Order: sequence, then C-alpha cells, then structure tokens
Amino acid sequence: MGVVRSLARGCYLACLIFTINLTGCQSLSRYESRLSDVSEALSQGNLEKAIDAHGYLSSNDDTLLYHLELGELYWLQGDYEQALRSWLIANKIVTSWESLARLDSSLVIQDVGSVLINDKIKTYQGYDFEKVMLASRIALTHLMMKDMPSARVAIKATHEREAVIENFRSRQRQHLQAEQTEKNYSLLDFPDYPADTLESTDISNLRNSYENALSHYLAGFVYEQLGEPSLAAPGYRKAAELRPKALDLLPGAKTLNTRMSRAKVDDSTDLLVIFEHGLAPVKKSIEIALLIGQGGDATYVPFSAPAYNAPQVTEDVGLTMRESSLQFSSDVVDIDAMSRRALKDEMPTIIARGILRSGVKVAMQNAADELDDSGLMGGLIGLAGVVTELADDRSWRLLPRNIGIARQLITRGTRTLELRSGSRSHSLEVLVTGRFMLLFVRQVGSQWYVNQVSFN
Amino acid sequence: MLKTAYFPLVALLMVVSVIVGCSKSVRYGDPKGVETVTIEFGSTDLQSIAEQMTRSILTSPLVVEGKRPLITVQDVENLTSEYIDTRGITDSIRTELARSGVVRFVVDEDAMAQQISELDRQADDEYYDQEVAAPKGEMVGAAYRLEGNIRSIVKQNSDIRDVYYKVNLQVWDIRTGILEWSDETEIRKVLE
Repeated sequence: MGVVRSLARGCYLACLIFTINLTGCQSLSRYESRLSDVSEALSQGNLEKAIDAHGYLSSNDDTLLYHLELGELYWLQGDYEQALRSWLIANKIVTSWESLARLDSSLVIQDVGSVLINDKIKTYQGYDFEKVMLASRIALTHLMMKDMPSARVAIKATHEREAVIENFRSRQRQHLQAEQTEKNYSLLDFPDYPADTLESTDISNLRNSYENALSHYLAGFVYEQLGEPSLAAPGYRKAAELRPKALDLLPGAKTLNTRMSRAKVDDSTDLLVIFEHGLAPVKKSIEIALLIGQGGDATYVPFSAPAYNAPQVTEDVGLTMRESSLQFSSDVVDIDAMSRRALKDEMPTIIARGILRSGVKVAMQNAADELDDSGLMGGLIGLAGVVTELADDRSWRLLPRNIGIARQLITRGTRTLELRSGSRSHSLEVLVTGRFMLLFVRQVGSQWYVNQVSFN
Repeated sequence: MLKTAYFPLVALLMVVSVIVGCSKSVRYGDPKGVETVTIEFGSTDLQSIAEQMTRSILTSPLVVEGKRPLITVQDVENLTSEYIDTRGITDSIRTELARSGVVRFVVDEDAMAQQISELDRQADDEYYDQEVAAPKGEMVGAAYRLEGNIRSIVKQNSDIRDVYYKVNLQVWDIRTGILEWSDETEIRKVLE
C-alpha cells in the first residue's frame, strides 16, 4: 500500500506542477491584455507597429485567431495579398471544422483540457459569426484585388458555410437535448453573473448569432455586377429579412431589374460604401460560486464563465456625400449584439463544462487530502484550481463593432464624403469612377482607414 | 492482473474501430438519381422542372406545326429568398429543345456582348479574310422569347420545414405580344 500511496502522491504532484506551470502560460492570461499593444497602435493609426506587436503573439494553439487578427491588420493597411494569405490560412482551419461538422454531431465533445484546466486550453475554433465574417472578408479582399470570379467563389462559400452551421447547430441542439438528463442550469442559477448583458431587444431580434445582412447584401451586389439577377435578388431579400428596417431605403431586389437594364455607357457609378467603426466587444472572466456536494461535504468551488460588460451607448454614426442623395443605413451588422447572442447560445455548454470541471477539481482535492494527512497537497491543488479557473475570453477582437452601408448611383467625378462617428468626424475626397465602385471606410479611435476599388 | 493486461488491447481496438468507422470513401453517384441531402433547391428539382417544361413545349402547337421557330431565352426571375441559379433551368430546357431539332435559338441578351465582340473581331481585315468573315447586319432576330419565374412559400415550425416551389414559364410572340405557350410546375419538399 505504501508504494501505491507514493505513486499516487507522485501523480498528484505531477498534476500540480503541470497546473502551476500553466499559470505562466497564455491560457491564463487575458486575451485583451495580449492584444492591447495591437489595438492601441491600431487606434493611433500605426499599422506597422500593430502588425509588429501582433507578431509577438504566439500562434501555437490559436492559429485561427492569430490569422484572423493579422488578416484584419493587413486588410486595413491595404496589403490585400498578405491579408488574403492570412485569411486563407484561417479559412483552411474553418473548412476543416466544416468537414467535421458536416459528418459528426458529436463534435460537441470538447478537448479534455477544458474539463481539467479551463476553456482557454481549447484550440480556438472561432464563433459561428466569425466564420461567416471570415468568408465575407475574403470575398471583399478578392473584390479589392479586382478578382470578381474569386469574389464570386468566396460569396458562394459564405452561403454554403451558413448552411453547414445551420445544419450543425440544429443537430447539436438535438444531440444535447437527448443527452441532458440531469438538471439544466441556466444563468438564473448564478445570481453573480451579469445576465442582463446578454438580454436586450438587439440580441433577441437577431434570427441567430451568425447570419449577417452585409454578407447577403454583398452577395446581391456582386451577383448583380456579374449580370446574374437570379442570384442577386435572393441576396438582397435575405439581407432585408435580416435587417428590414436598416435596408428598407437602400437599393435592393425591388429595383434590381431597373438597375440591370441601366445602359452600359451612362455616366454614373453604382457606388457601395461600407462604413465600419469601433472594435468587437471585450470578453472577460467572471467568477461564479458553485455549491458542489451536500450536507457536511458541500463545497463552494469557483467556476468561471465569460461575460461582456454592459453594452456601450450606441454612437450616432452618419455618412453623407455632398451634392448627392446617398442613402446610408448605419445598423446593418451589429457585431456587439451578435457576439452577445453567440455567448448566450453557448452558455448552456459552458456551464455544463464548468460544473464538470469543478467536480473534477473537488475530487482531486479530496483525494489529495486523503493521501496527505498534512492537507498541504490538497491545499496546493485547491489553490491551483482557483488560479487556473479562468473563462475563455478569446474572440476576433479586431472586427468592427458595427457596420453600416450606403449605396447610390452617383454621377462620376470627385465627391466629398462626410463621415461621423460619435463626436468624431472626417471628410474624405473620393474620385467616383467606373461602372461600379466599392468604398470601404473603417474608423478605430481617431483613425480612419480607407480602401477602394472601381470596375469598368 | 489478467484483466488489466487486456486494457491496452481493448483501447487499441476501440481506437481502430473509431478510425475505421470514421473513414469516408468516394464513389460516383447517378447524376439523375434522387438527391435529398438537404431541403434546399437541388439537382433533382432542376432536372424535374426542365424535363416537365421541355415536354410541355414539345407538345405545344408552337412546335407541332413544324416551323422550327426562332426563340431567345431570357432569365427565369428568381422570386424566392434562396440562391437558385435559374440559368441552370433555362440551359437545360434550351439544350433539350435544341437536341430535338424542332426549335432554333438565337443569341440571348447575356451572350450578345460576346457575339458583337466576335463580329467586331472578324471585321478586322488585317487578320481575317473578309470574303468569308461573318458580316455585320445579318443576325436574325427571334420570333419568340422564353421567360418565366420561380416562387417559393416556406413554412416552418420546431418540427417541420415545408418548402413549396412554383415555376411558371411562358413563350411570347415578340412581334404581336401574344402569349403562345405557358405552363407551370410545382414542387413540395418537407423536412421532418
């Protein structure tokens, strides 16, 4: 028995050392802190510095996240080749996920590490809305590179991705419902959790967390310019279904035939402006006290869950073009609400994993107490459990907080675009040219980034 | 002790069985076979619509009279919220009708730019023998135009998704504006 006890002690010590070592690694550091230099340089307009700062971040377990963020930086810099390279690496990972998701609803089974240590130990797989946004970003990059055939392929991949996600989430819900026999915990069971941050009309009005009106409107725009009205019309219709109020005034399916019959020699440009502002919301780790066991054995175990701060007050965003009636809709994609909806939808599985993890940690501590009469080992394991208990706060942070679009047939020539975001404003001289044109503006802090392309 | 000795073997067998169970093979399928992978518009729907409509046109007075009418094909308007490439439908109908030899087709609106480009190219006497080059001004206009639309009604609750498609096609006499032929076909798909 003495040998067995020694072996058991050895195992526990090894676990303890492993756990304590983790305290120094990235799974225990806040993602926001890791990205702070990048986002600060971005808001100061120093993209070179932002890219350099991003280069220091490890890409081992977070390859997807690393390339999502890096692609965004290159995109804003106007280096489309590098942006595409990064996003295609990220896309390859998402495509692998899609292949699994098509076949296997048991993909819900998560990495063992997330049960033993914390959810951040998991390889980052991306939220569904990030996967869809990635496909839209790739399509936009192809457009900026004047590669319409590749943009069309990327647009088509966006529809297919949404279909895979819809199908997978539906099967996953059925799978989880069939598996759940014990009590289902909800956020109401955890009074310490700021449940109100996941409850608002903006969040509940979303059809789901992943479909966004921009990707469908962009599909409509690309198919229209390619002379494919049968595919353009549903793009506009789907976008309008997702954001009926926002897209009511913009050119869409109703006026598609009129636009399609526009003479090829007229002197106007079909101008689409995509105006993005801010950064995606920051997630943080919230500690929830969970009571495990009954009677004298009952123990409170710290259990962490990701949470968002209360939503910011919506800033007044505006866009006008002098000497034109350019129509602007500011609220086409609300990534803040989509992020919260994604977290809300994921909470049941996060809670289930957290409860399981808490149980494992308590069991480890109790077993250590039995092996070591001094209580030192149990105490250390308990301490390690507390230190390592952090929620997964990773997300594609460099995405904008909100996206608006404007579109109008504009007579060609130099035009002045007036942009406004909260107290900040910016004036931009734009040469409107070509049969159709895409103008992309992104505001982060005091900086305004502009990308544009025209097609004849 | 004997039982514990089997653990690695059992674990190995389980891993192998999982790998074998997960492995996928590639096979050729029948392109005309019924496809029900998802409820969305698919190859079976496209083939069914094209076949029914082609059959209907081939038995219409427009064709039976043996005049080999000249037809131009316009887009089938997609009035659904689903990404359906309706050119797939009109391409299939045109191919089947052309194969029958009872109708002829002229350049449609989408292919006009390429047609003009080719005529312009051949008009260049530096490269083309003008005696055999296709001259401008001899294209023949269509007597009829084929057009149509596809609509859908989607209903869904927590258990069932019901999708109904209706495709309507028409052939119009371009000179007189008379509707010479029209037919429609319906498809209903239910996902439970």
